[in-house]
Amino acid sequence: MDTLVLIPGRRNLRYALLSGEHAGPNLQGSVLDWSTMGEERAMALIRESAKGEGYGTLPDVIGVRCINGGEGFKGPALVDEAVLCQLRELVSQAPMHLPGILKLLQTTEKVFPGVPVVLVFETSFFTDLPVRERTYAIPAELFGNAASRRWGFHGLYHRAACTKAARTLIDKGLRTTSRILSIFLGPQPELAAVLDLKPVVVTSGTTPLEGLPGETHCGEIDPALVLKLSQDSNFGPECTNNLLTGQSGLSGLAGRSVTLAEVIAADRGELAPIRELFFYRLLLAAGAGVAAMGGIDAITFSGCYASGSAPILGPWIWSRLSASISVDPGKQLWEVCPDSLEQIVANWAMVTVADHYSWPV
Amino acid sequence: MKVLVFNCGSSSFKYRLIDMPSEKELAGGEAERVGPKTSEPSRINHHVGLGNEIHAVELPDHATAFRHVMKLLERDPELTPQAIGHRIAHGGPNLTRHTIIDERVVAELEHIQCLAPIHNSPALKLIIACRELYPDLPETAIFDTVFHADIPEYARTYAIPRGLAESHGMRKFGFHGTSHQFVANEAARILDIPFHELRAVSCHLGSGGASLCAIVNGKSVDNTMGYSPLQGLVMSTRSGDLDPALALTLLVRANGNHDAVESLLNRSSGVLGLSGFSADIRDVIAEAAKGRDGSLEFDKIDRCAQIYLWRIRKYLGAYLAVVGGAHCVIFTDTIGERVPYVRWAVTSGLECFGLKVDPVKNEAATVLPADVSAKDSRVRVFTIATNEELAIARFTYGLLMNSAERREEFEGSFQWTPSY
Repeated sequence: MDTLVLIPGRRNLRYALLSGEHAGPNLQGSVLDWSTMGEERAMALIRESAKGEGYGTLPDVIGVRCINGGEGFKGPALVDEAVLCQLRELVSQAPMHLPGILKLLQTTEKVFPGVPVVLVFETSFFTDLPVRERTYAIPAELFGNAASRRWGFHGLYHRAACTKAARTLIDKGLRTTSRILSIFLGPQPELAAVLDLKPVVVTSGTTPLEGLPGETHCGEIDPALVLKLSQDSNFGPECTNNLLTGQSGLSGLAGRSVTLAEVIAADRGELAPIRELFFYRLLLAAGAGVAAMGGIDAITFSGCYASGSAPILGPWIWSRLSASISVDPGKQLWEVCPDSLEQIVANWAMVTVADHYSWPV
Repeated sequence: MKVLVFNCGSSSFKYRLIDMPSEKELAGGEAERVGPKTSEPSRINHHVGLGNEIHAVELPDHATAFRHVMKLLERDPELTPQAIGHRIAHGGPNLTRHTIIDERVVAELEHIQCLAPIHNSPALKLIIACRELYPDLPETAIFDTVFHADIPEYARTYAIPRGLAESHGMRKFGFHGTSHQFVANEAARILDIPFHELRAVSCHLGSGGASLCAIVNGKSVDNTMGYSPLQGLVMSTRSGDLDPALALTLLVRANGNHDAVESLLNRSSGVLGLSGFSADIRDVIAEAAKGRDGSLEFDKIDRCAQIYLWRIRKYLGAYLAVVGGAHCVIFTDTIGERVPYVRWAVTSGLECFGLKVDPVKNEAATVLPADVSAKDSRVRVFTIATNEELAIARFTYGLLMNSAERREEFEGSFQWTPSY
């Protein structure tokens, strides 16, 4: 089955063409500045690119990675009228991304007519995050429950990574149930504590702005400081938001643009204190996650920096945790989930469509 | 040395006269309803030994209340204070040690008033009144923030542009320092280990504010409150941690009215905001205990309790990981000392950290300090009564005795006359 994966970002549209499950992409690329050129032009470019590689026919299914599915989308969704309706209702909750998705869907119908489209949401994995974890201590009337609850924004990676780690635990004869710390390492890192494949803690908040500090975003910060920044510097909310999302984090501390991987690797030099800060925040989150799960069986890493940074972080977290938790040195498991986002989305798309049409996969 | 300790609130203050170094409490009380007239008359509740007195007096401001308290004490020459210790909530970035008060300190306190307007301002008024009326009476400032002044850079730094943070003094300050340090000291005594070797997590759970403190080698290495007391736990009326984007959304909605949002998050959120009926978690727990049939809005109330407890549990796990091999966990202040259910709920399931509370000991812990941990719990769990006034008296005594000039005064017999 040929799957076309689309990962729309604000500036670029990533795409990949994959055949069959667990195979690497045959074709992968990114349409830069797609919002300026328009969805139709962007999709036409992708179609041409595919033709150029010998994929003249239409793909069997298109998988689109979306971020926020709200309370309604607990899993992937095969697009039909009902789904489109649900999406339109959701726009008011996540006004940033969803109008773009709706436009994209209109375009895919034009450029790839008749091809089933599956929407795969990052937040789905976290839809049923326990109420005590996802609810802030503010009056409920302020926002309404759905608009001010905690989400995780890398659910696709977390679920894939935890599924794999849980299997490792079973294969090694260690445990049939699992308490896993799932750490997504990307420009906006995120930690989730996943108990038997259900998340019970996540560091992100209503937006990815809360949680672990990222390459440019501040992460956890005293809310009073947010107000003070807005007031003192005469920034106003919009400017303060830009400051906290685009000019803070590890780069804000370094005074220059840095990547998370660079910081994690910096055991000496000017980035070393920033590495200490990141490691510290990670340890706090890890400790909270272990308390939430009542223990820990494995740590898993996913995301673009995982393979490079896990060999440093995995042993470090275990060494710190083992000072307060007694775990056999032989059982201090950490692993990297090597699946790319494209593969994860493709797998979901194929499985969803196979379910629906009962095609052999 | 007879140390008079003042602990100021916005419309009240508590005071205690403590003899040092014997630590005997000689007198004490509370001035209530200080400031503009309220529905109830203002008064001073005063006690000497076991005797209680209530004095109905007009207390239009803290200075007046201060004068009244001094008059009450001076009726008995044995109760005349020889030094005053002031509890100050916020030392700001420059007052990082407890200090004897001089003009420099007063100037700095005036400078940083905006950091803690509700708490620092009344205390500052008292200090100024005292310096005016009793210029020869030594005074000290004992800060809630000092214990956390030296937490590691990676713990106190926010991930915001460095230049901005430094020019505005935006770091994590942490609070309840005097209380955390006091109970940690007591824990070290109980465990019979030197304080500079203690590794502990201290949970100051008050009926108002609350915070956890991670202690390594007798030093604070982190506190859940931050730049302000708003950060961290779910408190009686404070939200604690919140997505910055939500704070900004609230600001937009309030048309840029920072005070309104600050008030919303500090005074209308937390347990009050979640339960809709009380700021006291004890009321919420009691109501939830009635069960789904016995309680109106059970879901809302139960959810409030769950969220309050869960936030404590997560920070407890976080700090146990940071401390690594804690000797003990300490529960203190109103909720920590008096509500066994909270201690039980936040520690249950933490056997992985070597922590186990004994439910029988926990319920029976009425005489403090108490060890509520199970026999096989590697990490001890204590509930210890905090005593900020005594801690302040200890610091005051220490500071004054260490100051050579003062020591002469006290080793001789120091005479001073009130001038009002």
